[in-house]
Amino acid sequence: MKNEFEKLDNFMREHKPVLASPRPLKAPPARSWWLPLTASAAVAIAVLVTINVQNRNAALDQEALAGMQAMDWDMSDDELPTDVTDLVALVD
Amino acid sequence: MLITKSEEAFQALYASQAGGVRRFLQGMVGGNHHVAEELTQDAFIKAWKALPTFAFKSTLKTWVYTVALNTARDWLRGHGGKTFVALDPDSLNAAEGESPETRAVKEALLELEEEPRALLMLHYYEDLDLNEIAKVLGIPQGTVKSRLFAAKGKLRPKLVAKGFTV
Repeated sequence: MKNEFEKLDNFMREHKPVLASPRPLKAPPARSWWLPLTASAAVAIAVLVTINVQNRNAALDQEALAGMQAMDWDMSDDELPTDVTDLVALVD
Repeated sequence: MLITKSEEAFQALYASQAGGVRRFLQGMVGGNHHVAEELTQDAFIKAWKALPTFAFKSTLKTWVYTVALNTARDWLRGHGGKTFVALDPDSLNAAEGESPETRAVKEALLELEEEPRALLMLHYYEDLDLNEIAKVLGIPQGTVKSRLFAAKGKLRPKLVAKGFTV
């Protein structure tokens, strides 16, 4: 298809204004103070939540252990059946 | 890398794009090269501040031109709410080594309204393709095509009036 503006296109590209060298950029300013702060705060919160969850899990473990001990469960390994036959016998 | 350690990379971006951005801004603000210089600095500082929000949906080049265009529009709004600023013949003549034809072309472009002027400058001077222009102007690619066609139709008689056969 014929380009209706072919002549204009060529003319415009031949007469491009020269590029003037821009002066050096002023030093980029420090980014807003809240950006790094927000990132640090997010990390800090994530760490706190993780620690809190770990502590809570540890507390629950302790609680469960204490409960089992209170019920006088024997949890020594030698009392546990090691063989499938023993397990079946136990169920029966 | 550019996002996190960016000062040096940003200076490199400035070095590669600032000349074109300045030329584009000069055309947008009526040819005044002092204003264009200031706006170029402003545009790059804005781009620097907004860099963490850059979503890689476009190239850095089109993104920088988008910021530049918005900077020019803000400036134009702040100067009487006009979208067109009177020609600045002194600064038009200021560029060294520029032929009279090139100056006449710049004058013809400055006689156009803001959008066709932006379209033609991005197309002819900054060599942006249709997709890139669409991203800078925030309009569909098909619209860029039709508006570019219309803009060329407006430019041609201005050049013919200046004695060029185009």
